[in-house]
Amino acid sequence: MYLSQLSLKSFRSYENLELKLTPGISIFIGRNGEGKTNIVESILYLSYLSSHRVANDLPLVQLGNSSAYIRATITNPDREVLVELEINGERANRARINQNPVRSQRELFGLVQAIYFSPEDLDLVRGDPSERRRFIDQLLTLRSPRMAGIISDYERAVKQRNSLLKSRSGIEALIPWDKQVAEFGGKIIAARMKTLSELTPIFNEIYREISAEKPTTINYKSSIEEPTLNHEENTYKILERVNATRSAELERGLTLSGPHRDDLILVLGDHIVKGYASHGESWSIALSLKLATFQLLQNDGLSPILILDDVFSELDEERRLRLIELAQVAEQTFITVAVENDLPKELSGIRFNVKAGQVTPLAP
Amino acid sequence: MYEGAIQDLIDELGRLPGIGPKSAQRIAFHIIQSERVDVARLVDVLRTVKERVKFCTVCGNITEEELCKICRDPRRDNTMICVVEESKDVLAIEKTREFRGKYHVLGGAISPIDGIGPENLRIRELMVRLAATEIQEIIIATDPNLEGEATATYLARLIKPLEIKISRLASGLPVGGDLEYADEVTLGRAFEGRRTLEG
Ligand SMILES: [Zn+2]
Repeated sequence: MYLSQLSLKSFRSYENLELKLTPGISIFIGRNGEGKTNIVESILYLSYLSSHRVANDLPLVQLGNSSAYIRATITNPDREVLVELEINGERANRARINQNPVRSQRELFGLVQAIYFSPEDLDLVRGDPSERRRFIDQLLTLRSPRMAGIISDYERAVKQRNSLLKSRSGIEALIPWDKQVAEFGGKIIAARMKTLSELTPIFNEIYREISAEKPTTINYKSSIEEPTLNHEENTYKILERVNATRSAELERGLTLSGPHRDDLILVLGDHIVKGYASHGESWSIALSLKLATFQLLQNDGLSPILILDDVFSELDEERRLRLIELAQVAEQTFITVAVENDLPKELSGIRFNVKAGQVTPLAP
Repeated sequence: MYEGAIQDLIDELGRLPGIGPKSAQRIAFHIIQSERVDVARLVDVLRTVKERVKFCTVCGNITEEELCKICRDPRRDNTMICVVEESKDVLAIEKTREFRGKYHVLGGAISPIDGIGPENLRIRELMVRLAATEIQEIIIATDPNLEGEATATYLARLIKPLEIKISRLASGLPVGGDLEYADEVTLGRAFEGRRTLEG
């Protein structure tokens, strides 16, 4: 799968952008603030329906406009799909697939699969648990688009339930929401455990190649005891916890059990990585995690788009080479760099100059 | 911002469901440019609908009488009640012709973040009906989404002690959706395959 065309309208710095794209490597060169990252951000938005840079959508809409538009043609071996997305900032987004409006933008999940590497990846290792939950949940959605619905229903059920807890509601009113939190939560935990069990061996192998020495592992740390691959068991365990912690939940006005409280614990040798690993080790781990997700999707039979966003200047020679190797096997790769000199010499591809919101192809 | 009456109109229109600021403005200017008689007719219809249309005192469905058409119909089965969120769901289910009982319209679904609890819905009225009449089966046809499911669970637990059979529309309905969007065949099938709910 690759994108053969991308148009942006009122998206960030772009009033109107039309790009013809090809399989292989495309490189966007431009100083910070010239708009190169906005291009890959729009592609990632199509894949994840959220930005990798900002938590809410408002900054994506160009000032003075009510909506931003992303339009892309996805070329698959058997068919072309035209996706159009209207980002509305505060109201719900609207989407069309092959000119037909869809009921929810969620129907776009699975059409564009993209994996990105960016300087923020370090947060996977050093950041809050929410970073790692987002990482694993994004991977679940890429592998199985229907998970997007389950995750968003879960998050809404937790919000509804918290709202009741804050108003110190009685147990009869809470029970319907206990049930939903437990059912969706049980499924999410099971799916995370399953994906983690497939991701970990790949991650270990890649990390060994990059960094040698110490063995690594990823543990799932849960708010329930002994989470399993069986979602019904997880559901039962969440309900048990919920019943055991009623008074604490009412006191704090928060749902205290479920996948939104869980974390992935990265272990290096005998140590928990967070707060222990050096800068270099942390980068190796973050990179290995991302490389492993790419490999996992490939094992699933998918050919995700690869995005390398401003990442070369952060990495040493050896790690750069890993990414270049990957860029050469990916069906389509988008790279952003500030200056041409940051590009590894081994890298060939179509180059675009990005300046003041203008994107111009450079002569090869 | 416009001045005076036109801005008042835009504000009022903008408060209607599904109408954003741009549409509100477009409709307002359309009204300004319309013939006086056309606007008068619109005003009349609005006034009449508000004067005449009310909610059935038994089931909560919309009607111009004391009782709605379905509650008045002697051929309908008095032993079954189908519980829905809105009057438009009654219409959707009627189209399937799968159900010959009566309805109960809740007026929405439980949603704590919107401040809608059981006390804001016509649940007390439902319990009064159940206590007073010969109902044998309740079919809960709230929307197949989070709030609809929560409402179904809440009702099932509430009704269980009355020892009335409780069922829920079968799956197969698009999840996360609205009942009114389900096509007739799917909705009809969901009725046939309804499953008994444990409270
Ligand atoms: Zn009635």
